[in-house]
Amino acid sequence: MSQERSVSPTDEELLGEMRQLAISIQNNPSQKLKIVTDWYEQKLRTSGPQKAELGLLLLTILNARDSPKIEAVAEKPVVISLHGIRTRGDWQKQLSSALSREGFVYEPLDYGFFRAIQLVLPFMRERKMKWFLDQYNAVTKGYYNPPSIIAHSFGTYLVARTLGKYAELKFDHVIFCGSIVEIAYPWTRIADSFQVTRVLNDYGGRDFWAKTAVFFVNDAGPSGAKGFQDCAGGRVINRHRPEFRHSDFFYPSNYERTWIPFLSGNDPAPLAATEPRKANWKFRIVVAALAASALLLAYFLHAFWK
Amino acid sequence: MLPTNFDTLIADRPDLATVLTGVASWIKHHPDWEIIDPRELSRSLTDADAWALATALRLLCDKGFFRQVYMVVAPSGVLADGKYDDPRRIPVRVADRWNQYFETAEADIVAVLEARK
Repeated sequence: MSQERSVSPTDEELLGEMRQLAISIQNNPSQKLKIVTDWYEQKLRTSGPQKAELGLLLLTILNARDSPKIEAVAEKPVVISLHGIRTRGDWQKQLSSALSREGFVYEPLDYGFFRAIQLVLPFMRERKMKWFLDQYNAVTKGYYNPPSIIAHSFGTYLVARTLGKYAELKFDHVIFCGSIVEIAYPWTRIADSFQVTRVLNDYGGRDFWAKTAVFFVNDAGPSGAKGFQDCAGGRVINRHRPEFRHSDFFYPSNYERTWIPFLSGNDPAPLAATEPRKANWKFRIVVAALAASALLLAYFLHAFWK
Repeated sequence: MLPTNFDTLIADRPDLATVLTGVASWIKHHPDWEIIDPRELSRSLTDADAWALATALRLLCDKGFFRQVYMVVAPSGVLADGKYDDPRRIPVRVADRWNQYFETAEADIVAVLEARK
Protein backbone atom coordinates (compact mmCIF):
# COMPACT_ATOMS: atom_id res chain seq x y z
CA MET A 1 0.00 0.00 0.00
CA SER A 2 3.06 2.18 0.04
CA GLN A 3 2.51 5.28 -2.03
CA GLU A 4 4.64 8.01 -3.48
CA ARG A 5 4.15 11.21 -1.55
CA SER A 6 3.44 14.14 -3.77
CA VAL A 7 2.83 17.20 -1.66
CA SER A 8 2.74 20.74 -2.87
CA PRO A 9 4.89 23.45 -1.24
CA THR A 10 1.87 24.69 0.73
CA ASP A 11 1.16 21.16 1.91
CA GLU A 12 4.80 20.79 2.92
CA GLU A 13 4.30 23.98 4.91
CA LEU A 14 1.29 22.42 6.66
CA LEU A 15 3.39 19.37 7.55
CA GLY A 16 6.01 21.75 8.96
CA GLU A 17 3.36 23.52 11.00
CA MET A 18 2.16 20.20 12.41
CA ARG A 19 5.72 19.41 13.39
CA GLN A 20 5.99 22.74 15.20
CA LEU A 21 2.62 22.17 16.84
CA ALA A 22 3.67 18.75 18.13
CA ILE A 23 6.91 20.23 19.50
CA SER A 24 4.98 23.07 21.22
CA ILE A 25 2.63 20.53 22.77
CA GLN A 26 5.55 18.43 23.93
CA ASN A 27 7.15 21.47 25.55
CA ASN A 28 3.89 22.70 27.16
CA PRO A 29 1.74 19.65 27.86
CA SER A 30 -0.47 21.61 30.27
CA GLN A 31 -1.47 23.93 27.41
CA LYS A 32 -2.29 21.18 24.90
CA LEU A 33 -5.87 22.22 24.16
CA LYS A 34 -5.01 25.91 23.97
CA ILE A 35 -2.10 25.31 21.57
CA VAL A 36 -4.31 23.22 19.27
CA THR A 37 -7.25 25.61 19.30
CA ASP A 38 -5.03 28.69 18.83
CA TRP A 39 -3.45 27.08 15.77
CA TYR A 40 -6.88 26.03 14.48
CA GLU A 41 -8.27 29.54 14.85
CA GLN A 42 -5.28 31.10 13.12
CA LYS A 43 -5.43 28.55 10.30
CA LEU A 44 -9.15 29.18 9.84
CA ARG A 45 -8.39 32.87 9.40
CA THR A 46 -5.37 32.54 7.12
CA SER A 47 -6.13 29.46 5.00
CA GLY A 48 -9.77 28.53 5.60
CA PRO A 49 -11.53 25.51 7.11
CA GLN A 50 -10.16 22.95 4.60
CA LYS A 51 -6.56 23.37 5.71
CA ALA A 52 -7.49 23.72 9.38
CA GLU A 53 -9.46 20.45 9.37
CA LEU A 54 -6.80 18.65 7.32
CA GLY A 55 -4.10 19.83 9.72
CA LEU A 56 -5.85 18.41 12.79
CA LEU A 57 -6.51 15.10 11.01
CA LEU A 58 -2.85 14.93 10.10
CA LEU A 59 -1.80 15.74 13.67
CA THR A 60 -4.03 12.94 14.98
CA ILE A 61 -2.46 10.45 12.56
CA LEU A 62 1.13 11.56 13.15
CA ASN A 63 0.71 11.41 16.91
CA ALA A 64 -0.76 7.92 16.72
CA ARG A 65 1.93 6.38 14.59
CA ASP A 66 4.78 4.44 16.06
CA SER A 67 7.09 5.28 13.18
CA PRO A 68 10.03 7.54 12.41
CA LYS A 69 7.50 10.28 11.67
CA ILE A 70 6.59 10.48 15.35
CA GLU A 71 10.25 10.87 16.21
CA ALA A 72 10.47 13.47 13.46
CA VAL A 73 7.58 15.32 15.04
CA ALA A 74 8.99 15.07 18.52
CA GLU A 75 12.70 15.64 17.98
CA LYS A 76 14.33 18.90 19.01
CA PRO A 77 15.13 21.12 16.03
CA VAL A 78 18.80 21.56 15.14
CA VAL A 79 20.25 25.00 14.37
CA ILE A 80 23.64 25.42 12.70
CA SER A 81 25.52 28.72 12.58
CA LEU A 82 28.27 29.75 10.22
CA HIS A 83 30.53 32.79 10.60
CA GLY A 84 32.17 35.08 8.01
CA ILE A 85 35.77 35.80 7.07
CA ARG A 86 38.39 37.47 9.26
CA THR A 87 36.49 36.40 12.39
CA ARG A 88 35.89 33.30 14.47
CA GLY A 89 32.29 34.30 15.14
CA ASP A 90 32.01 35.48 18.77
CA TRP A 91 28.31 36.01 18.06
CA GLN A 92 27.97 32.27 17.63
CA LYS A 93 28.88 31.82 21.28
CA GLN A 94 26.36 34.50 22.35
CA LEU A 95 23.63 32.68 20.46
CA SER A 96 24.30 29.44 22.25
CA SER A 97 22.48 30.15 25.50
CA ALA A 98 19.52 31.87 23.80
CA LEU A 99 18.95 28.90 21.47
CA SER A 100 19.48 26.25 24.13
CA ARG A 101 16.99 28.01 26.41
CA GLU A 102 14.34 27.68 23.69
CA GLY A 103 14.97 23.96 23.23
CA PHE A 104 17.08 24.00 20.07
CA VAL A 105 20.08 21.76 19.54
CA TYR A 106 22.80 24.22 18.57
CA GLU A 107 25.80 23.41 16.36
CA PRO A 108 28.10 26.40 15.73
CA LEU A 109 30.49 25.62 12.87
CA ASP A 110 33.96 27.10 12.77
CA TYR A 111 36.17 26.90 9.68
CA GLY A 112 38.94 28.90 11.26
CA PHE A 113 40.28 32.32 10.41
CA PHE A 114 39.67 32.76 6.67
CA ARG A 115 41.73 35.62 5.24
CA ALA A 116 40.38 38.09 2.68
CA ILE A 117 42.96 36.95 0.13
CA GLN A 118 41.68 33.37 0.47
CA LEU A 119 38.18 34.59 -0.35
CA VAL A 120 39.38 35.82 -3.73
CA LEU A 121 40.73 32.42 -4.76
CA PRO A 122 38.03 30.18 -6.29
CA PHE A 123 39.69 26.90 -5.29
CA MET A 124 39.85 28.04 -1.66
CA ARG A 125 36.14 28.80 -1.71
CA GLU A 126 35.47 25.38 -3.28
CA ARG A 127 37.47 23.75 -0.53
CA LYS A 128 35.34 25.49 2.11
CA MET A 129 32.15 24.33 0.37
CA LYS A 130 33.34 20.73 0.60
CA TRP A 131 34.20 21.30 4.26
CA PHE A 132 30.72 22.71 4.87
CA LEU A 133 29.06 19.73 3.15
CA ASP A 134 31.02 17.33 5.35
CA GLN A 135 30.03 19.28 8.48
CA TYR A 136 26.38 19.29 7.38
CA ASN A 137 26.43 15.51 6.95
CA ALA A 138 28.05 15.03 10.35
CA VAL A 139 25.63 17.35 12.17
CA THR A 140 22.46 15.95 10.59
CA LYS A 141 23.36 12.29 11.06
CA GLY A 142 20.64 10.58 13.08
CA TYR A 143 18.09 13.36 12.69
CA TYR A 144 14.89 13.06 10.64
CA ASN A 145 14.24 16.76 10.14
CA PRO A 146 16.50 19.13 8.24
CA PRO A 147 18.36 21.67 10.41
CA SER A 148 17.92 25.43 10.33
CA ILE A 149 20.92 27.68 9.74
CA ILE A 150 22.09 31.17 10.67
CA ALA A 151 24.88 32.47 8.45
CA HIS A 152 26.84 35.70 8.24
CA SER A 153 28.87 37.19 5.37
CA PHE A 154 31.02 34.47 3.73
CA GLY A 155 28.88 31.94 5.60
CA THR A 156 25.89 33.05 3.50
CA TYR A 157 27.95 32.53 0.34
CA LEU A 158 28.86 29.00 1.44
CA VAL A 159 25.22 28.14 2.21
CA ALA A 160 23.87 29.55 -1.07
CA ARG A 161 26.55 27.97 -3.27
CA THR A 162 26.35 24.59 -1.53
CA LEU A 163 22.52 24.58 -1.80
CA GLY A 164 22.85 25.33 -5.51
CA LYS A 165 25.39 22.59 -6.09
CA TYR A 166 24.03 19.77 -3.91
CA ALA A 167 20.28 19.12 -4.22
CA GLU A 168 20.47 16.75 -1.23
CA LEU A 169 21.24 19.64 1.11
CA LYS A 170 18.08 20.75 2.92
CA PHE A 171 17.38 23.36 5.57
CA ASP A 172 14.24 24.20 7.46
CA HIS A 173 14.64 27.90 8.27
CA VAL A 174 17.53 29.95 6.89
CA ILE A 175 18.68 33.26 8.39
CA PHE A 176 21.17 35.40 6.47
CA CYS A 177 22.80 38.59 7.71
CA GLY A 178 25.54 40.59 6.02
CA SER A 179 24.88 38.41 2.99
CA ILE A 180 27.29 38.48 0.04
CA VAL A 181 25.03 36.34 -2.17
CA GLU A 182 23.84 37.78 -5.49
CA ILE A 183 20.48 39.58 -5.27
CA ALA A 184 19.02 37.43 -8.10
CA TYR A 185 19.66 34.15 -6.22
CA PRO A 186 17.01 31.63 -7.42
CA TRP A 187 15.15 31.08 -4.15
CA THR A 188 11.98 29.93 -5.94
CA ARG A 189 13.82 26.98 -7.48
CA ILE A 190 15.52 26.15 -4.17
CA ALA A 191 12.27 26.40 -2.16
CA ASP A 192 10.19 24.54 -4.77
CA SER A 193 12.60 21.62 -4.56
CA PHE A 194 12.07 21.61 -0.76
CA GLN A 195 15.68 22.53 0.00
CA VAL A 196 14.51 25.35 2.28
CA THR A 197 11.22 26.10 4.04
CA ARG A 198 11.62 29.81 4.75
CA VAL A 199 14.40 32.39 4.54
CA LEU A 200 14.95 35.56 6.55
CA ASN A 201 17.45 38.00 5.06
CA ASP A 202 18.45 40.64 7.61
CA TYR A 203 20.17 43.31 5.52
CA GLY A 204 21.70 46.67 6.27
CA GLY A 205 21.73 49.86 4.25
CA ARG A 206 25.28 50.70 5.32
CA ASP A 207 26.88 47.30 4.75
CA PHE A 208 30.13 48.20 2.98
CA TRP A 209 31.38 44.60 2.66
CA ALA A 210 28.15 43.33 1.14
CA LYS A 211 28.34 46.10 -1.46
CA THR A 212 31.98 45.51 -2.35
CA ALA A 213 32.24 41.69 -2.26
CA VAL A 214 31.12 41.52 -5.89
CA PHE A 215 34.35 43.27 -6.93
CA PHE A 216 36.47 40.45 -5.51
CA VAL A 217 34.30 37.36 -5.86
CA ASN A 218 32.90 36.53 -9.28
CA ASP A 219 29.59 35.04 -8.13
CA ALA A 220 28.98 37.20 -5.04
CA GLY A 221 26.44 40.03 -4.75
CA PRO A 222 25.08 42.76 -2.49
CA SER A 223 21.97 41.03 -1.04
CA GLY A 224 23.26 42.02 2.40
CA ALA A 225 22.78 45.67 1.39
CA LYS A 226 19.90 45.49 -1.09
CA GLY A 227 17.90 42.37 -0.27
CA PHE A 228 16.89 39.51 -2.57
CA GLN A 229 14.77 40.02 -5.69
CA ASP A 230 13.33 36.49 -5.83
CA CYS A 231 11.22 36.13 -2.69
CA ALA A 232 9.83 32.70 -3.69
CA GLY A 233 6.21 33.71 -3.25
CA GLY A 234 6.69 35.09 0.26
CA ARG A 235 8.95 32.30 1.49
CA VAL A 236 11.90 34.71 1.55
CA ILE A 237 11.56 37.68 3.88
CA ASN A 238 13.82 40.68 3.34
CA ARG A 239 14.20 42.70 6.53
CA HIS A 240 15.78 46.07 5.86
CA ARG A 241 17.80 47.88 8.54
CA PRO A 242 18.80 51.18 6.91
CA GLU A 243 21.39 52.09 9.54
CA PHE A 244 23.03 48.68 9.93
CA ARG A 245 26.59 47.88 8.93
CA HIS A 246 28.01 44.44 8.15
CA SER A 247 28.07 43.05 11.68
CA ASP A 248 25.38 45.09 13.45
CA PHE A 249 22.93 42.19 13.65
CA PHE A 250 24.52 40.48 16.61
CA TYR A 251 22.76 41.52 19.80
CA PRO A 252 20.54 39.59 22.20
CA SER A 253 17.20 41.26 21.49
CA ASN A 254 17.61 40.56 17.77
CA TYR A 255 18.15 36.89 18.58
CA GLU A 256 15.28 36.74 21.06
CA ARG A 257 12.68 38.85 19.26
CA THR A 258 13.42 38.12 15.62
CA TRP A 259 15.64 35.13 14.93
CA ILE A 260 14.43 32.60 17.49
CA PRO A 261 10.70 33.27 16.82
CA PHE A 262 11.46 32.90 13.10
CA LEU A 263 13.22 29.58 13.73
CA SER A 264 10.10 28.52 15.67
CA GLY A 265 7.87 29.26 12.70
CA ASN A 266 6.79 32.84 13.44
CA ASP A 267 7.59 35.51 10.88
CA PRO A 268 8.96 38.72 12.38
CA ALA A 269 6.67 41.73 12.56
CA PRO A 270 7.38 44.24 9.80
CA LEU A 271 9.75 47.02 10.78
CA ALA A 272 8.47 50.58 10.78
CA ALA A 273 9.51 52.25 7.53
CA THR A 274 12.46 54.53 8.11
CA GLU A 275 13.81 57.12 5.74
CA PRO A 276 17.54 57.00 5.04
CA ARG A 277 19.32 59.50 7.24
CA LYS A 278 19.78 62.82 5.42
CA ALA A 279 23.32 64.12 4.98
CA ASN A 280 24.24 66.82 7.51
CA TRP A 281 25.79 69.36 5.12
CA LYS A 282 26.59 71.84 7.89
CA PHE A 283 28.74 69.26 9.64
CA ARG A 284 30.39 68.20 6.38
CA ILE A 285 31.24 71.81 5.51
CA VAL A 286 32.88 72.28 8.91
CA VAL A 287 34.90 69.05 8.47
CA ALA A 288 35.90 70.09 4.93
CA ALA A 289 36.89 73.55 6.18
CA LEU A 290 38.97 72.04 9.00
CA ALA A 291 40.66 69.67 6.58
CA ALA A 292 41.40 72.52 4.16
CA SER A 293 42.78 74.63 7.04
CA ALA A 294 45.01 71.75 8.14
CA LEU A 295 46.33 71.35 4.60
CA LEU A 296 46.97 75.07 4.27
CA LEU A 297 48.73 75.12 7.64
CA ALA A 298 50.86 72.15 6.61
CA TYR A 299 51.69 73.90 3.35
CA PHE A 300 52.74 77.14 5.09
CA LEU A 301 54.74 75.28 7.72
CA HIS A 302 56.48 73.33 5.00
CA ALA A 303 57.22 76.58 3.07
CA PHE A 304 58.41 78.29 6.29
CA TRP A 305 60.86 75.52 7.26
CA LYS A 306 62.22 75.25 3.70
CA MET B 1 -22.35 0.19 9.39
CA LEU B 2 -20.45 3.17 8.11
CA PRO B 3 -20.49 3.78 4.33
CA THR B 4 -17.95 1.76 2.32
CA ASN B 5 -18.83 2.26 -1.33
CA PHE B 6 -16.18 4.69 -2.54
CA ASP B 7 -15.98 3.36 -6.13
CA THR B 8 -16.85 6.66 -7.82
CA LEU B 9 -14.40 8.45 -5.61
CA ILE B 10 -11.66 5.93 -6.36
CA ALA B 11 -12.28 6.44 -10.09
CA ASP B 12 -11.99 10.20 -9.63
CA ARG B 13 -8.85 10.06 -7.49
CA PRO B 14 -6.67 7.17 -8.64
CA ASP B 15 -3.77 8.68 -6.68
CA LEU B 16 -5.69 7.91 -3.47
CA ALA B 17 -7.20 4.60 -4.68
CA THR B 18 -5.02 2.37 -2.51
CA VAL B 19 -5.72 4.34 0.64
CA LEU B 20 -9.47 4.65 -0.05
CA THR B 21 -9.68 0.88 -0.69
CA GLY B 22 -7.82 0.34 2.57
CA VAL B 23 -10.28 2.60 4.44
CA ALA B 24 -13.27 0.74 2.94
CA SER B 25 -11.75 -2.58 3.91
CA TRP B 26 -11.07 -1.34 7.47
CA ILE B 27 -14.72 -0.24 7.85
CA LYS B 28 -15.95 -3.63 6.66
CA HIS B 29 -13.79 -5.30 9.28
CA HIS B 30 -15.16 -3.00 11.99
CA PRO B 31 -18.94 -3.13 11.35
CA ASP B 32 -19.82 -2.04 14.89
CA TRP B 33 -17.85 1.16 14.86
CA GLU B 34 -19.85 4.37 14.72
CA ILE B 35 -16.85 6.52 13.95
CA ILE B 36 -13.56 6.25 12.07
CA ASP B 37 -10.79 6.86 14.56
CA PRO B 38 -7.77 7.87 12.41
CA ARG B 39 -5.44 6.61 15.14
CA GLU B 40 -6.80 3.07 14.84
CA LEU B 41 -7.02 3.34 11.08
CA SER B 42 -3.42 4.47 10.69
CA ARG B 43 -2.22 1.64 12.92
CA SER B 44 -3.95 -0.81 10.58
CA LEU B 45 -2.87 0.85 7.33
CA THR B 46 0.76 1.03 8.36
CA ASP B 47 2.07 1.33 4.80
CA ALA B 48 -0.18 4.26 3.95
CA ASP B 49 1.56 7.60 3.98
CA ALA B 50 0.22 9.87 6.74
CA TRP B 51 -0.32 12.70 4.30
CA ALA B 52 -2.20 10.48 1.80
CA LEU B 53 -4.34 9.04 4.60
CA ALA B 54 -5.28 12.46 5.96
CA THR B 55 -6.05 13.72 2.43
CA ALA B 56 -8.23 10.67 1.69
CA LEU B 57 -10.19 11.11 4.93
CA ARG B 58 -10.73 14.80 4.19
CA LEU B 59 -11.95 13.84 0.72
CA LEU B 60 -14.53 11.49 2.25
CA CYS B 61 -15.78 14.42 4.31
CA ASP B 62 -15.83 16.81 1.35
CA LYS B 63 -17.84 14.32 -0.71
CA GLY B 64 -20.46 14.02 2.01
CA PHE B 65 -19.80 10.51 3.31
CA PHE B 66 -18.62 11.67 6.70
CA ARG B 67 -18.16 14.77 8.79
CA GLN B 68 -15.14 15.59 10.87
CA VAL B 69 -15.71 16.05 14.58
CA TYR B 70 -13.45 16.27 17.59
CA MET B 71 -13.31 14.08 20.66
CA VAL B 72 -11.26 14.22 23.85
CA VAL B 73 -9.13 11.43 25.24
CA ALA B 74 -9.95 10.88 28.90
CA PRO B 75 -7.14 10.22 31.43
CA SER B 76 -8.05 6.51 31.26
CA GLY B 77 -7.04 6.56 27.58
CA VAL B 78 -10.51 6.04 26.09
CA LEU B 79 -12.45 8.65 24.18
CA ALA B 80 -15.00 10.62 26.18
CA ASP B 81 -18.50 10.55 24.69
CA GLY B 82 -18.79 14.20 23.67
CA LYS B 83 -18.32 15.08 19.99
CA TYR B 84 -17.62 18.65 18.96
CA ASP B 85 -17.87 20.23 15.50
CA ASP B 86 -15.20 22.72 16.42
CA PRO B 87 -12.26 22.09 18.79
CA ARG B 88 -12.78 25.57 20.24
CA ARG B 89 -16.14 24.39 21.63
CA ILE B 90 -14.57 21.74 23.84
CA PRO B 91 -15.50 22.67 27.42
CA VAL B 92 -12.93 23.21 30.17
CA ARG B 93 -14.17 20.08 31.96
CA VAL B 94 -15.90 17.06 30.45
CA ALA B 95 -17.21 13.78 31.81
CA ASP B 96 -15.67 10.45 30.86
CA ARG B 97 -17.76 7.32 30.26
CA TRP B 98 -18.05 6.71 33.98
CA ASN B 99 -19.24 10.26 34.57
CA GLN B 100 -15.98 11.30 36.17
CA TYR B 101 -15.11 14.89 35.20
CA PHE B 102 -11.61 15.79 34.02
CA GLU B 103 -9.84 18.94 32.82
CA THR B 104 -9.42 19.13 29.05
CA ALA B 105 -6.46 21.56 29.05
CA GLU B 106 -3.96 18.69 29.08
CA ALA B 107 -6.09 16.16 27.18
CA ASP B 108 -5.35 14.85 23.69
CA ILE B 109 -7.77 16.10 21.05
CA VAL B 110 -8.57 13.58 18.34
CA ALA B 111 -10.11 14.38 14.97
CA VAL B 112 -12.56 11.57 14.09
CA LEU B 113 -15.03 10.94 11.26
CA GLU B 114 -18.68 10.10 11.84
CA ALA B 115 -21.22 9.19 9.19
CA ARG B 116 -23.20 12.13 7.91
CA LYS B 117 -26.82 11.71 8.91
